[in-house]
Amino acid sequence: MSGVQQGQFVAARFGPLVRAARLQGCPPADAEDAAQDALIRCLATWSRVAAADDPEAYAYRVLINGLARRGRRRWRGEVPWASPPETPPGAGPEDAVVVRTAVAAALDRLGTDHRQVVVLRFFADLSERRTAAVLGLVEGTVKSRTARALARLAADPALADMLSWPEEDRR
Amino acid sequence: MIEDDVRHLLATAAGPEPGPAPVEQIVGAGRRRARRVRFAQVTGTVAAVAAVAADIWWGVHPQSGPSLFAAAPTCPAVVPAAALPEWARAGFSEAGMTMPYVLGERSEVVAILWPDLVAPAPEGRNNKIRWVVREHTTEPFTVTARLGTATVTTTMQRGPGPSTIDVPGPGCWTFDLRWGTHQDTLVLPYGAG
Repeated sequence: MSGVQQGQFVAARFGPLVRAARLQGCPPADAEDAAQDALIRCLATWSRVAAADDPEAYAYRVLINGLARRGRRRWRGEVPWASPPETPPGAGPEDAVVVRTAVAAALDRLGTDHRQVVVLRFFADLSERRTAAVLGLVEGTVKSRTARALARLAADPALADMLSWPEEDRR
Repeated sequence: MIEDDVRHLLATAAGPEPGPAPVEQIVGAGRRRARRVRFAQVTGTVAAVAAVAADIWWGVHPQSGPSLFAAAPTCPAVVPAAALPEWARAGFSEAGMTMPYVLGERSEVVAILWPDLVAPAPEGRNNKIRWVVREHTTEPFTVTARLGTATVTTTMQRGPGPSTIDVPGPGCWTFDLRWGTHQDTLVLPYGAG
């Protein structure tokens, strides 16, 4: 076991795991806890991580499982709202805040399974095969969930001005 | 391309990079957890060896009476959540597919747990296990849990499904499962209540 390798693994994976957890609906403080918990679990079974074909995917899998456990036990994530909150007139929020709010609302409406696929495919940039390995699914299921999720995001009013999906393809 | 737009939106919505990772803290916690895991494994192995040794002793000295111990199986302290096999997902919403479960040795049955099992069961709380078999059946489903000389048996007359199975003490309990002509076995951990 190499402490140096473990340190490098933690340093490299912490940021992406925290951000992925946020996209799964974790409040910022919980996202850091979830990422730390996932990394601690990875280090506790380091031989498996070191032997894994895809340590990055392994870490995402541990994170996803941890978030599922938290969801069942106490953490309930963000409360989805029916439509994005109105921007106060004249408040002038920064673009990133507007995007964050709209995307969070749209992801909430996707549901857990489609949200996981979207985050792994388009944030973590995992291939369909790697995403399937993380979620314990077959590739075909990942492919169909991805297509459905993209269609629902394209049709989501919160993202209406942010996606370049042709209008005639929106449903 | 919508994929590129989604990538861009997610990268923005994920927020800024967090501060530097607390590497030393995480590595230290990982080592402590690894020690706990190893301790649990060693404890289980020692218990198994002791049980086998006791069996040998009783075998060498049959006049002393029947064995009090069976070879104790080992099991993880906590059953991790994972995606259920596809055939075990009936009755669960897609969001609930990731569950703590144990698959039978013959892969004919899964035991889905919620929450973690404890023994003896605290007042007001039962140990709930949902049994799902690969091929749906309504034949009686008999569960026999064993640890050492202790045995707990229950039968679900209308086939596998939700059950409450409380056992007298903590440990790795071996479950013998029978329905129709089928049989499977698995080991479930009961923590101290």
